[in-house]
Amino acid sequence: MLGGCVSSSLSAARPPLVFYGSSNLLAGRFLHLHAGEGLSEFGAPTPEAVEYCIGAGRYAEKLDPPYTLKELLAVLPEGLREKAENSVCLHRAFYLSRVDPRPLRRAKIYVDDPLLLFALEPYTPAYAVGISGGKRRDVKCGADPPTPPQLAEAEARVTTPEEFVDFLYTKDIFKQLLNLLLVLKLIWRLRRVL
Amino acid sequence: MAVKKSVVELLKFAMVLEVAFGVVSLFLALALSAAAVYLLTYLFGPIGGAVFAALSAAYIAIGYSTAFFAYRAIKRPELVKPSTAILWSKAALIAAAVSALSANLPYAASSALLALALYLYAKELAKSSA
Repeated sequence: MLGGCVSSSLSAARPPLVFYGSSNLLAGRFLHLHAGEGLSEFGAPTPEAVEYCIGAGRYAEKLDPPYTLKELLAVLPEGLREKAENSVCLHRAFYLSRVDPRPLRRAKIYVDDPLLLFALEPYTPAYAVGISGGKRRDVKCGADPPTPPQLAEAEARVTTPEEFVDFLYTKDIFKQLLNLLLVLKLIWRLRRVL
Repeated sequence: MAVKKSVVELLKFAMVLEVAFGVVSLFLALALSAAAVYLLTYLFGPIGGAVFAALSAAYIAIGYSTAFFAYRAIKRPELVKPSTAILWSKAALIAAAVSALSANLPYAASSALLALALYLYAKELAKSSA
């Protein structure tokens, strides 16, 4: 018996991982992540998060991160605009989308806030129970009762708008450098072959 | 949106420098590519020359279009989004890297300065819209 059904399916994938659902599906050590209070109008909510809050995910797909609430309002149709402007959920999604994934690099994460799941999803493989759609993998469990998980409480760090711009900027540049390194490595190998 | 005046001034300075060195580099690239196109056309036919000419045109165009974006940010800041400022900053960075590789140091320096100015501009936009 491998313990919690989620944990047994997680072991095949590479960390970090984020899981949303009932905690009694887990076994092993997990970081139970919370986020502090805060609302914002600047960030990069994923289309899934916008879909969850106001049902307008396909409009958010047109926007490149980072964007502002004003930009989102500009692409929304007339009927949804007021709903979006007054949505606390959407403001919260903007705030949480700026969560810093860097300290979580080697952790298995358990969240009970769907918006936090959507915010972490671009950086980690995500497993969810109870939220439909998207690329998330849904977990189905058998009848075996798993051993209770060890949850370590942790508070997510949410970056300021300026730090978030830094993060987005450097993330892509490092990716490019990595690509460059790969190309150079390839050329080096080819040189030795030829 | 209130963007710090010093950042706009830096953007203006970098843009002017970019345009000025862009013209110098255009002549340099024209002279260089004229020689290269001659050689390549001689060796590989018109296609070889055309490829090189297109590449050198793209090289000038990257730097120059970032200057146009900077001009737009100065003239009509309400139209500029943080994501596009980041994008153009990266384009300027690429232009700077290409210039540095081709030993065109003034153009590389001005492109790098423009990349920095656009990056600071994006940060200012983020700060003011939080």
